Amino acid sequence: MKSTHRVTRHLLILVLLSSLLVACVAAPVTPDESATTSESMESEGPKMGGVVTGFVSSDPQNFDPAAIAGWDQGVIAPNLLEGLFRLSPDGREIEPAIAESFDVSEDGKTWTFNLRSGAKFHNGREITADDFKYSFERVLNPETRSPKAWMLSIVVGAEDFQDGAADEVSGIRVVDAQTLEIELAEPLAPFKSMLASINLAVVPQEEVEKWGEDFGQNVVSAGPFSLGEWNLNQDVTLNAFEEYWNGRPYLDAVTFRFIGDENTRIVELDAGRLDMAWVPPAHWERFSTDPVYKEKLGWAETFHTDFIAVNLESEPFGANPKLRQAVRYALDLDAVIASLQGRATVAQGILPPGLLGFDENAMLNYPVNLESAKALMAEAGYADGLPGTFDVILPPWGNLIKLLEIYQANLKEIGINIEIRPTEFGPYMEALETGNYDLAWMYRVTDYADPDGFYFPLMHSDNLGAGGNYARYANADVDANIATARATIDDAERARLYQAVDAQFAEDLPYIPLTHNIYVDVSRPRVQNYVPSPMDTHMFHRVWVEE
Amino acid sequence: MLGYSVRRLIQIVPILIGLVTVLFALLNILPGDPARMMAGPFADPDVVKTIREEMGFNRPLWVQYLDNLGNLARGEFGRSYQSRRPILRDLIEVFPKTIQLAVAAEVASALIGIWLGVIAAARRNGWADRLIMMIAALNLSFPLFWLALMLQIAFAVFLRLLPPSGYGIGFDRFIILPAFTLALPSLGLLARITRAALLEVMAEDYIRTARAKGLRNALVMRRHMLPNALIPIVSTIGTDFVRLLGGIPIIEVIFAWPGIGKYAYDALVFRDLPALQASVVVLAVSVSLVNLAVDLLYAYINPRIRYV
Repeated sequence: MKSTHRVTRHLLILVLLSSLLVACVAAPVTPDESATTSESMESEGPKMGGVVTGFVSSDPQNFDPAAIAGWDQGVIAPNLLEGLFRLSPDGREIEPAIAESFDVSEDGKTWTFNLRSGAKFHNGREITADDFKYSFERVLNPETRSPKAWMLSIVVGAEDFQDGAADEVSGIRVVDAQTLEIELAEPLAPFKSMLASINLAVVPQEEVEKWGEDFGQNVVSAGPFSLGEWNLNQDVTLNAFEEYWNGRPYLDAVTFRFIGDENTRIVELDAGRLDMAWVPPAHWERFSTDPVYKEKLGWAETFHTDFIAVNLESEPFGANPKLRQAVRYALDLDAVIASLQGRATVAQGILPPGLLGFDENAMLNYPVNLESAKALMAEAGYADGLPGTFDVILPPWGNLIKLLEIYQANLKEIGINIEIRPTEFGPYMEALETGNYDLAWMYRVTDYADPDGFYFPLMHSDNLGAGGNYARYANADVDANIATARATIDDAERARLYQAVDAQFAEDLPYIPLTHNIYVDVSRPRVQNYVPSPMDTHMFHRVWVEE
Repeated sequence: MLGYSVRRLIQIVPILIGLVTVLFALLNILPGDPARMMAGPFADPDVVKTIREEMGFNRPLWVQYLDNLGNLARGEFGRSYQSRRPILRDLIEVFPKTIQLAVAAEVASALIGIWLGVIAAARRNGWADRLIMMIAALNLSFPLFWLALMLQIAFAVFLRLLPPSGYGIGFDRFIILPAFTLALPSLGLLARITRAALLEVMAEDYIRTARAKGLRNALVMRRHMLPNALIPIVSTIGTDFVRLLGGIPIIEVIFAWPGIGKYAYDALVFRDLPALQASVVVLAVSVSLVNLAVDLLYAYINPRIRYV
């Protein structure tokens, strides 16, 4: 009797303790391998083999290049998919991929690509020019329902093909097995970066036909990794592609786990079961001060700009550039960046740093200056402040509202009252598209790594309204410069044109630039040579592990 | 009994129609546009329009609604907007994993809860009783996500005994944390109910008789008290199982458990109506079946109840 009582009591205490334990434990500061790895940092170079475990927030479901539009897909896909060009591992350069070299005709309309001999699909078959013709026509084909078909709409004959008037795209020509020719209706400089997009990756016809509707879950393409085991809703593994044209990856495989909860990712990292995780604000303090982890923070200044769009067709902000300048002078962007734990930089224009044409000196330079702001208010005729209250619409994302409250307080100081109006994404977009708003917080990322992805939709008058120019900005010089830059292949000339656009932008300020985001993740000490990229793609071709 | 069961099963049909109707209405009233989700943020309106036409979102709502109902009646869940894959195939893969989790959690909460309740009742007003009742109340009042995080930190990071999240092969060490977290509030509730039921039975004459004839306490508990206290306990387990199913999505998301709750959550985020609807229908049918099973179990435990 006595002994059973004792056992019962012990068990009882155990259960109760575990119940109580939840209330009083703190996370340990460092993982246990910290001591050993700090010395091995200066290692002898890349090693073959090993597996890295990364994450995305939900099951990407589909890697068909023609269907990809989501973030989770975009993070993984560049490891699997490849086309004529690709992004460099840090995401800042466009490199030749299956195209070994290319040539653009004098008029900028005909692009000739010499394909790399020996480049293969994951199924082992050699890639030919016919495969590109097939892949591009597949994206354009309305039956494919590709959200990115517009990237090829400038190709000669694309429209006839989409309308069913032609059964092939006349502007995509196979010269021979190794030579592809694409003719554009107009010269288009950013076409190169579009060709580096995962949406225009090459796929083999036989596999697409074999898998039918299931191709997205059984993708075969030409990237450094091939699709391995995929556990629905759980994880997906990519295996090293031995015959990749640029040498097989150092890693044997990369597994991406689907973990939606940001705290769970950190716990997984601490438990040593995840090699990298995005750093949530609540964990910033810890990782940025930890002696081991602070060396393993991955920074990426993303091609992302936050700004306030001003509806130029509405009074009083639309009618008065001085008022818009006053707003920019009044905003305490440093305070906002501090509240983002330093994970952003001040935007001096619409273009994020790192893209062609970005020039710190040519950009507007509006430091926080309440005096200037008040002087501009007076010049605009509102020395005693602006009567009335103005709505700023924004998507209903919790952390945004906190930032907007800082701007609200800033603007109050120069006599402008704004009301923060979180709006569901659908109605929010509708307001931007129809022009039924005064001020809107918004952001822009680009689908292709080129300044055109910012200037053309936001500022060219062809895109007024629904096309992306939500401010309804129209300036003949700006239009001409953007159009010329689009059609100019020479980079230096393009940069000069964009800087001219920036100068005009600084005066007119149809969009009030706020900040550029910085993405920060942390990886375990074993992961080497990993950099997050500004395009939200995480490339693993040259990543290796130190065991 | 058979007739009763059949009638109960038929009653599920109008419930499902109502559910699908409410869901359809909600998803169409709530802002958020599946075509826009498929095209990506700030997509070209033409692209959004094309997708809308291809997917039939431009048809009148009542046509979409009837079409949708007709498909369901034929047992066709359709294809997911996101993966373009048949949803039925997804559900066959994810639903069993949810059943595993729910069963593990319910078994854990029943075993531990009843056991704690028995101890509390046996040591009425002693320190064990007070402690158990206090903890039971605490467990009931903590939010699930917080419990989850604390257990993860305690057992995975601090003690390094268990993996913090993920899925192995089913009933293995991966299931312990999510199942235990899910079980904690139920466990507290069950401990309280068991204690109350036992205390009530304890006052009965037949217990005094059993004691009087010299039976050991443990035997009185096992043979006379527990069986008679079982009715409120079983009914609590039944209703609690339904409540537990409600906690499944958040637990599956936090513990990256690849079940139907996480599947439905992602479908909601992407406004993937067919996938969300199919998940909800499957969950609703399971809840109805569990309710029926609990009612039938009643009759079995308590011979005084008979269904006709």
